[in-house]
Amino acid sequence: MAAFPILGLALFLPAVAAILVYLFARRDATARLGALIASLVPLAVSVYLLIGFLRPDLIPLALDPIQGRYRAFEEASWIPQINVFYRLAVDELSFSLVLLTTILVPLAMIYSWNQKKRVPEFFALLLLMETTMLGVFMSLDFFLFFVFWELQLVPMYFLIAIWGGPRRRYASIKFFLFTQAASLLVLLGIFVFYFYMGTGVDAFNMIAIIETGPIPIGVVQDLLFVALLIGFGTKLPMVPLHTWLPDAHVEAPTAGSVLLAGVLLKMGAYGLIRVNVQMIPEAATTLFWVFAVIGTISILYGAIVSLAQDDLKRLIANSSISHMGIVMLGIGASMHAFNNGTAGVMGISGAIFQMFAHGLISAALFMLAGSVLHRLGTRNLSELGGIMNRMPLLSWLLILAFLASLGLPGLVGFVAEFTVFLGTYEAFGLWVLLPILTVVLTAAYYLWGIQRAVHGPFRESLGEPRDIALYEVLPLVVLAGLFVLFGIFPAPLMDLFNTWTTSFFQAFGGI
Amino acid sequence: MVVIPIITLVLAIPAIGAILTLVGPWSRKQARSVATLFSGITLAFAFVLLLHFVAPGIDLGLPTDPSGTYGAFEEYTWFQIFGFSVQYRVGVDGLSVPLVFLAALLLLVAIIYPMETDFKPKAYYALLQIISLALIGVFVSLDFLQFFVFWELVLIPMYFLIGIWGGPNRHHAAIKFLIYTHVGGMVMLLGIFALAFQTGTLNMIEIARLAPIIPLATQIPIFLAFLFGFGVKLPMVPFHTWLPDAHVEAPTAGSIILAGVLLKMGGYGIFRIAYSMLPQAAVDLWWLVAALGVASMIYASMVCLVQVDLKRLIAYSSIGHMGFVLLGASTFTAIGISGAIFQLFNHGLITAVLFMLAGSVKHATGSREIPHLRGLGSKMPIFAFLIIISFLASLGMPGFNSFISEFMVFAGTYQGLPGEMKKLIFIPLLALVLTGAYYLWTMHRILLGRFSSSLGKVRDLRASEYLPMAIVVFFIFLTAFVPSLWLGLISSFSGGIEQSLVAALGGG
Amino acid sequence: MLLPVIIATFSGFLLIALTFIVGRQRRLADAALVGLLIALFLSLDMAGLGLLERLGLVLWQAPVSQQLPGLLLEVTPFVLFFWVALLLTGVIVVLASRSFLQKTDRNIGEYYGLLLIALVGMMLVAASTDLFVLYLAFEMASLATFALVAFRKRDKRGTEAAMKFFIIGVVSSAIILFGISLIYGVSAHVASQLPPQTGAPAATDLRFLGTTLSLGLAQFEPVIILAVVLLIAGFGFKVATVPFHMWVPDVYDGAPTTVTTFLSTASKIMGFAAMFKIFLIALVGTAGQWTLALGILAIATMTLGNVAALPQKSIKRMLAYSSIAHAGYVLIAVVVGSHSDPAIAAFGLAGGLYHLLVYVFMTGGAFIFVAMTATLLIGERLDDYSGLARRMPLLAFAMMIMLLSLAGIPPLGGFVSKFILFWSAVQAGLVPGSEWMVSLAVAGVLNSALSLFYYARVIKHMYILEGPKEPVKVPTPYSLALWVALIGTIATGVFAFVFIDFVTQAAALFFG
Repeated sequence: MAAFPILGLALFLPAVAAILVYLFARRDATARLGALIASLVPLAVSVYLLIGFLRPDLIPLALDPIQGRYRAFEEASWIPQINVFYRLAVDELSFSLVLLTTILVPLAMIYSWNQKKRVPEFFALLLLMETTMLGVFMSLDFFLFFVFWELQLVPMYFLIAIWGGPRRRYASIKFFLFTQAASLLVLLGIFVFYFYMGTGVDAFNMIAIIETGPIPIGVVQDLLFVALLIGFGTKLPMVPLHTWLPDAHVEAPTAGSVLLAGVLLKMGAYGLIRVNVQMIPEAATTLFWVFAVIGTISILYGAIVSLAQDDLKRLIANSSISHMGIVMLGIGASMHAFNNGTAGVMGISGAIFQMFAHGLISAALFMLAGSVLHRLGTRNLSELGGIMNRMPLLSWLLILAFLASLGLPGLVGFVAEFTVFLGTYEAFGLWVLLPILTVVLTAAYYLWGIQRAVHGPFRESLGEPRDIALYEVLPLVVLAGLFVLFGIFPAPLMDLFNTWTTSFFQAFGGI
Repeated sequence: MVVIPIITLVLAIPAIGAILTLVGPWSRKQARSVATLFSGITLAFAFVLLLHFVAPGIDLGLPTDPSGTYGAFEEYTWFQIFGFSVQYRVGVDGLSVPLVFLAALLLLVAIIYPMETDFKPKAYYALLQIISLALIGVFVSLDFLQFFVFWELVLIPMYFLIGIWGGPNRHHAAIKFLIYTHVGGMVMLLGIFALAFQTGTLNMIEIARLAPIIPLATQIPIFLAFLFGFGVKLPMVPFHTWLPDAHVEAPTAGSIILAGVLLKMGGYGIFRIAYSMLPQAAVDLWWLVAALGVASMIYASMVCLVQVDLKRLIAYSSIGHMGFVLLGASTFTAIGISGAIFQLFNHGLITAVLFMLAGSVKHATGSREIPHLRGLGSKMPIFAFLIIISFLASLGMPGFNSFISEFMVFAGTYQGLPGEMKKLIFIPLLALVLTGAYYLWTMHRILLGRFSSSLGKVRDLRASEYLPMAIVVFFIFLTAFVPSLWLGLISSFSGGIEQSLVAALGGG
Repeated sequence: MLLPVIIATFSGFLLIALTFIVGRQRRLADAALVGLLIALFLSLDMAGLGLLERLGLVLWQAPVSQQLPGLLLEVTPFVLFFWVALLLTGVIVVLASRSFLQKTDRNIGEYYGLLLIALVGMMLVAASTDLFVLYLAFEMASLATFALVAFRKRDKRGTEAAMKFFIIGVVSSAIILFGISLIYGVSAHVASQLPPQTGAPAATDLRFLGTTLSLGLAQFEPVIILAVVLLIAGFGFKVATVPFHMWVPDVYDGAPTTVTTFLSTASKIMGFAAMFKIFLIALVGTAGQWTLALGILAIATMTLGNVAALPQKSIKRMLAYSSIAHAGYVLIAVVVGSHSDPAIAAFGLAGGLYHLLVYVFMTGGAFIFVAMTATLLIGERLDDYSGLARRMPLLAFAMMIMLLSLAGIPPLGGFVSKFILFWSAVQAGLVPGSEWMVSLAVAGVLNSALSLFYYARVIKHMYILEGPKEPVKVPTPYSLALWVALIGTIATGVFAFVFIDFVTQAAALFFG
């Protein structure tokens, strides 16, 4: 008996709901509520999967036939003439991102509860975003993967272009073209895989590609590696292909920023790990230094640029670059030390955890930035002051989110960064001080800025703000809870990631 | 058992419809109803034909040709002279069935879409049916004489359609269309002559069997003649200049048929004739075909960036999209050729909607100038929705139908390019970025931004306008989600052609 | 066997006599029509209709193929084909003349009489088996047409045209006669050296000429070549091939339009009948000397005709040039007809015959249309035709069909005949030694394509451009004539298989 396609349900239900909401929701309230309910279904599936991963004995999930590592496997022929399959499954890597996505989408919806402009469209687009993002993480057929990868641009583009800030037109087009151009390199990469897998066989099957590793070692792999690095790295984004990000973030509506920083950037990292690392591991090990160097540069650059930012949103956006640099650094460290036992595992495990953690943290930060602008009319730190007096709830949450972002022990960011830096130390020795010191220094700087903005006397020029409302508090509190939860109990997740990395290295011949 | 001459029926129904539409004492509405009825029957028969292919289990009692290549086939002798018989011979296979269906579908759509003027409605609807009849005739003819007849027959009603119901500059556009395509047809005719001369027959099935053994030195000039003839029609750069003019001046229904089906004649000819009959020359001149295709893609997308008139933009984008067909053809891979043929079909659907939208926006706002059209997104939600879908589909967004065909073309290109030249695939890929850029920018300008008050009161699309678009959009999505419906047919054809090309590659 | 000829002759003379009795020209036309229709019916019956036979009136066994040695004539399918074509022309022209001629026109009886006598001459040309009989019949027809052109003797342009036509005609006749005399000299000389035998044909017998000339070729080559050149030039004037075509536009333009119709169709058909007989029977043994020259001439004629037609603003002149081009197409039949392979030769000839038949309908119809617009004071210039489709929808449609057929658009007659012509050239080109004949087909096709431009321009004026809107009333005879032409144009295309058998049979029997 074929198992019930739970991944398919989680994937397509939001899309169907999006169409229904767009076409039939006459009243804004219906649209909001319908969209929220629809987005809870994938969340339920995620939880179900989580139990399946943690306790396979309770919920046995269908495994893929090739490697037996991908769970909740479902497959159907789609375009038999070119051997394209509808093939979904998740492993620990993609599951963590599915979980992240399904958590963030409902929260973003709740946060947008008082959205006034073209409500049904707005929520329909958010649902559509969910489908495309989940599709990227779940697809294990390259064709399908690329379909979702590209399709995801569309709802994001409209979110920025319609609900964005004053320079939304420029930002949205820049976002679209930058990422589209980059994804052509991904497309090219897919052709290369297709070519080397040979026609007539299951050439788009990502599991089969991972299993066989069809690309000849040497120049071909290296060139492919570079192409894919640019393709995925633009999404990540890595320096110097990051310029679209600050613009897009600054102009995007808050829910858009939340999903952009929380999930979209992870797609780039996911691609790097799934494709660059897993499918052409030889090139990834040879070219580990590319990861490491670009990662470090991104960390330094993101940190330094954000020092100069006064706009809260721009600051967060640039710090995202820095945080995603940590992901790259982790990958680079692992690839260098891949046959070095646990030390090698730590880099990638930490990187995956960092993706998860950053998703939660940046979501919270962007929500806070949105609230600050909404309540106070400005996002510039220099114009803020003493808001703790009038808006204690907002202030406390802001401080908590910043601390999480800076990597305060006990919160989720710390676990991730610590693991990555540990892995980096194992791989590169004391070079690790370069990123660590940067992070610490910038942390101090932020704290000082926050200090000025939050404490002290209230600036009367800000008017008579009211503290944040329930619809804002609720998602923020949930996120804060998750910071603490995963900060204190990282083990279950970290174990999953370790399992993943270990088995990958075993398959590759490391450890 | 009764054998239904279904292909002949598909040809005859629009002919009867055209005559009845023309001579009956109809009012405008009645003429339209009559035309709708007959094009509906045509579509029904085309659907039966399609069914015969996609569901072979259902026995419709259609005759096949002796060699079995053509799943439906009819043959009658017109006249005989000294043992040489001139025959009526029609048949369809995986290449022609989708195109026949497309032609029948777009005929119905073009007729449902409201007429823009009240001028001579009977003639208008009759001409539309005649064009479609001729187009279907091109796709089903398996005798060169008849093929050429239908090929040229397309021109005359189209010439009238542009010349009578067109825009202000219609006379010039109509004559330009006629001269360009007629000259192309003449050069093609030389090719037909050469083939007939080499093989001594006009039977296209026979020629496809005999012609491939013609020596390469002879094949090349014949191939070039065909390439020119089909390239003008397609159109490819640098023989494309008639197309934007013709489109801008043509009435919307004319544009639907022109871009939706008429351009497909060129692509069809390339596969049915140039590649099937002259594989050695095709293999030898692959670089030329590829270069022309890439040039069309790049050039057209760059020109699109500076277009002001929405219709002209769509016309140029068609040139770019037809470049994919040439590129796919030049790859000799089953996937590339299938993709190219699939691209023909997909582009037909998408441009039909685009031209209807351009026509409707002109009708609703009085302008087609992109700079004048601003902020329509909130004023015309249905229009906005449809234009977003069709623009995305046209720019090759994954999840829409043309992505699949363009993907296949590129996959084939990568596979087909010789090792050291694989990097060159960057050049055509660049066209994708350009395409994305101009569509996005256009969409942005039209839908977003501040509504320009100079347009006055605008209305959204009427049901009579969006209904035909909805029909086509339905097929766009159907094709996107179930591409194998068409690809099954197409790949049955392209598999065969790939084999002969590969054999030629080995032999040459 | 000669019943159709006799009836036509009789009607002709009767009409001239009737002028003095019957005052109303319409009645005269009706009488001419009756005579022509009877002759046409008899010819068709002889050609294979066999209707009389079925009615119990056994005059002949259809299809008739019989020699009449005493009269130096023959009645074969080939001949009957020409009779039918010529008589059809006569019917169409008379129908049109019935309305074209005005009350002010005089000598109407003579007009119809001359028309019929010219037809008789033409029919005899087709039927002759002897060079001198052929020449005499030829002259008979020519003289009658000279008079016809000058029929409106008060019309200055008409008389000028008649003068030109007369001079050209006489000169060309003289040239032909000179050529014939040279041939006769050679033939008689060769025949005198042959072993004497009883019942030997005269030295001017066409089939015998074929034998004698090929025997005498070695000895008298320069003389024969000179004779061929003279004959090509002489007939070139008659059928208006390049470079002997200069008179055509002026004469066609100047003559009364019905007479132009007659000249452009019947005269040309006669010219080709004569050319087929002389070149394909008498001169076939010397084909090596002239096929290439005629081939070049054919290409030059069609090309020049079409190119010159392009800029014309007068539709009559345009049609005149177009008829030159069509003469070029038919010349292909003369060239291919000389091919050594009898099957290919018959193929080519069949194409030529078929084209002439279709030509009667389409060119005849087109000229009649012009005559009609002139009568109705609409005009004969391109601009006068603007918006004509709204004023006379059915007849404009007929005109469009005829123009499309002239351009060779299927499934009309013009297409089928051109196809057979060109395909025969392709067939000839497949045979080693005559590959160059393919170029005839290529030139023909390209020229057809070219011709579409000026034909389409007329259609554009009629259908697309705006003009006066008030409807016009067309006299019934014109409509009738045009309907005959229209039905013929369509039938020869769509129902080609009905006619082709007869044409191929005629062509095959022509070569024996």
